[in-house]
Amino acid sequence: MLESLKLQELARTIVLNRLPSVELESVQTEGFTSSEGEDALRITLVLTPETVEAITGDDALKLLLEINDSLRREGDERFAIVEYTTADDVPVDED
Amino acid sequence: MAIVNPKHLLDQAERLLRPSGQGTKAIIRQADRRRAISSAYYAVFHFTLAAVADQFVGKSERNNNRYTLAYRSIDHSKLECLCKVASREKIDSKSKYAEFFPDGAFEQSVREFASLLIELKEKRNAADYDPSHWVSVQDARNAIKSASSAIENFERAPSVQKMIFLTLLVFPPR
Repeated sequence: MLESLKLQELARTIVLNRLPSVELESVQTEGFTSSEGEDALRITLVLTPETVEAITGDDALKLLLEINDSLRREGDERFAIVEYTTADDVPVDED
Repeated sequence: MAIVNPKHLLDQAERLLRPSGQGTKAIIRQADRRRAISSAYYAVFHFTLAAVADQFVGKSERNNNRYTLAYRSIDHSKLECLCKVASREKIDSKSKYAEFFPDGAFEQSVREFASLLIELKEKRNAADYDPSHWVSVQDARNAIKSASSAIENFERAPSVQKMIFLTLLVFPPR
């Protein structure tokens, strides 16, 4: 398994190469147990609100595949899910 | 015919992401974001079930109970099991699936479709059952866009690739 910093660097490099028009504020990674009981990985991309709409469905599909291909080439067999958010979208009181 | 149209599930997901309330108090609630993620997953899931039944019973037989049997023969775990193998860049030559794979792996659109199914299944699971999980608006929007693209791309994939994927889903090697 790759360590957190290496994972963030790998994800950042792929995002910047594949989606040059988006501004990436940060990358967060965390391991979790999948619904099938396997080790998995959650990669959260924090993007600027101004550029986030530029991501198409095809972009997201290619990014997902490229990240998982890269992880396997590095010997990390965990499946990674990629989540997207913006810094201005934060939990609020919904009552 | 009462079959679920995947496009309608994606339309529903988009409607869920319209803000509730007025002015500065307008928000997109967690309940709606979570249901949008779930609808995006089910759009791809039902698309796959219909593809299976169309392939092995026939699109013209949608009112036949044999069609329902084929449609209901696939469950979430069975689909994920194939997707884990089908998403790979190169399949392990020792895998029981290896001899059936075209040129050692599926082409890009099928691999993307398989990867997205695994991802959306996990996101749906968290959205439906994990109270600690927070869903962002952008993640829900991207789930809808990705699901729509994955369905379109799979439909355009070479027939032989789709046929192999659906065959392995219904008749997995032992």
